[in-house]
Amino acid sequence: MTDRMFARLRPGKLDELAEESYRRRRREDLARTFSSTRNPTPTWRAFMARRPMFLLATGAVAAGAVVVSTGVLSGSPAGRTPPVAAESTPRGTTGGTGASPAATRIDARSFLLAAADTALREPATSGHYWYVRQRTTHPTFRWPEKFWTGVRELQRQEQAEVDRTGAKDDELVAINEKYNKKLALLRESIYPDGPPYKAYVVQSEERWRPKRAGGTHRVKSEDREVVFPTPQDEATWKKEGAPKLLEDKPKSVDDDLPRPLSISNMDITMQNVGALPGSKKALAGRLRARFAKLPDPHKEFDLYLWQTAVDLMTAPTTPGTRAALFQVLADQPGITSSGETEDTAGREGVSLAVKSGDGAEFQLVINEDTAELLEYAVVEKGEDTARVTFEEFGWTDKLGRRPHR
Amino acid sequence: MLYDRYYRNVLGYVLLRVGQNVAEDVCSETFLVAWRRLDELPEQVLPWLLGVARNRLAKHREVRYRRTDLVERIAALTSEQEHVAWDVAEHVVDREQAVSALRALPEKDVEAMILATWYGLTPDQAATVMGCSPRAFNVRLHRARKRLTGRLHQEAGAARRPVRGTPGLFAEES
Repeated sequence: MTDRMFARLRPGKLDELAEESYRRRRREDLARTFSSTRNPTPTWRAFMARRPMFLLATGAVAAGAVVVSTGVLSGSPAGRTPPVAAESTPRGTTGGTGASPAATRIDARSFLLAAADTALREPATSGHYWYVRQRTTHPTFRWPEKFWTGVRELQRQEQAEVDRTGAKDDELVAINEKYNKKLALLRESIYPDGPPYKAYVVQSEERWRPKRAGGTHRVKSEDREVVFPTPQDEATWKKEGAPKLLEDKPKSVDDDLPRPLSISNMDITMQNVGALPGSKKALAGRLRARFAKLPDPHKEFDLYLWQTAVDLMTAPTTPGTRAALFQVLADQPGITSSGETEDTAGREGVSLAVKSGDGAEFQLVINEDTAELLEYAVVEKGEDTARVTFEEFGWTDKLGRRPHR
Repeated sequence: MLYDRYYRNVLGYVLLRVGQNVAEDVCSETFLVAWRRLDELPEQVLPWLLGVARNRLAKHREVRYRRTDLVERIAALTSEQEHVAWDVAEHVVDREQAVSALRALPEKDVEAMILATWYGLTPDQAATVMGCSPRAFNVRLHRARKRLTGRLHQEAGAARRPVRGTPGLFAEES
């Protein structure tokens, strides 16, 4: 959990600044570099590595990467409705609210075992890039400027106090705690009853993961919009001065960092994901060993498995690994099914869920015919904190292109 | 080519220490060094480049290795929009609380987390960058995770309500 949180702390501005510097400095840097050498020819070739047209080529790519037109791919029509948890209540033909826990438990297990057979029948595919298009919904809110002024002032004070006294770890922790209390008070002073309106950001994301180590990875966000669950929420938002809840510009970022496919399983990459075990026993053993190594003192195996399942079901795993994964899930007593449901895009699937120790519900919606993951969601107190719908995934041979189906 | 492939990665790392102008200079110097030592470059180039950049940074007068620099830079580079998006989306702790929790960590521990999580480096590779043994790196990383987890749980409890870590969406959505 901590790694996942930390991963998200990386400021997006780093990419923007790096791209800007790269484009501005490239010509000058290279000129300086090449003129500085004593033996230009052979080294130059190695540095350039078989890309004679580099100036033009990368210039064009870089420009294209920044300017991405919206509306190239519109999300599925149903994806535009605010997917609040209440709307996605399962229809419950096999489980449903009236069913006993034992019954829903059996449903989950038999469904998962059937899904394992289905997964095994799906063909194995391959390509140069693994493509995923997803539509994400999560809550958003904007604190007023006076909150941010307060936050900055607290940060400055905290820093000053750390500089003055905080040499030892326990002192740092004490200072940290003190300022977090102040932060909570600041929050309460502005909205004593919590945020006055609800709003969601709905956006699509396309991602190309290179199969080859060092290949270009691209992530592109588009079709972003804000939706309000009720007209009252929108009215309150307007009354608050209609603060901007969304940055206008869509974003596309290319890089070639080595990336794990699953934060809970940092050792799984695009290069080795196709070689994961294809038997239940071997896969379960590997996942158990990985789980044992996770440093989180509050870890729960059910949740780890849920996360891993989401990561692996949307990655280029073999049919054998996917089947084994369903079998491992089938053995989990904590997973229940509430029967048939529809995902946000209006597709039919079967809903599975696991509850964490603090009552949050982690859901999966799986296509019964193909055993593919359609959607996942995290629901707390009856409200979605995140809902992600997988509109398409598969192999493609070209960066920027969608798979042929 | 080397420059095109890694410039942005290296600059992103340097930007965590210094402003854009100095960062660009450090980055230029780094690639100049790489260029001069092209024959000696290891197979894993990125960790090597980051290690060179780290050394060049240490030589710059503008850079003080005060333990606060890194976390302050992260805070400064984080846009308001990211705070907004984070705030309610995650329900673990707020982004500013998370950044604040980093302050309770020694700077090198934060750096270990960055190399492992943002750059996906293996302990061997990250140890190359930080100029320490893989064992020392592992100890650092382990300690960082443990402390951060502890701090986050305390804050989650203290600040709002007893929530636990809601899983983020995907590995690189930050």
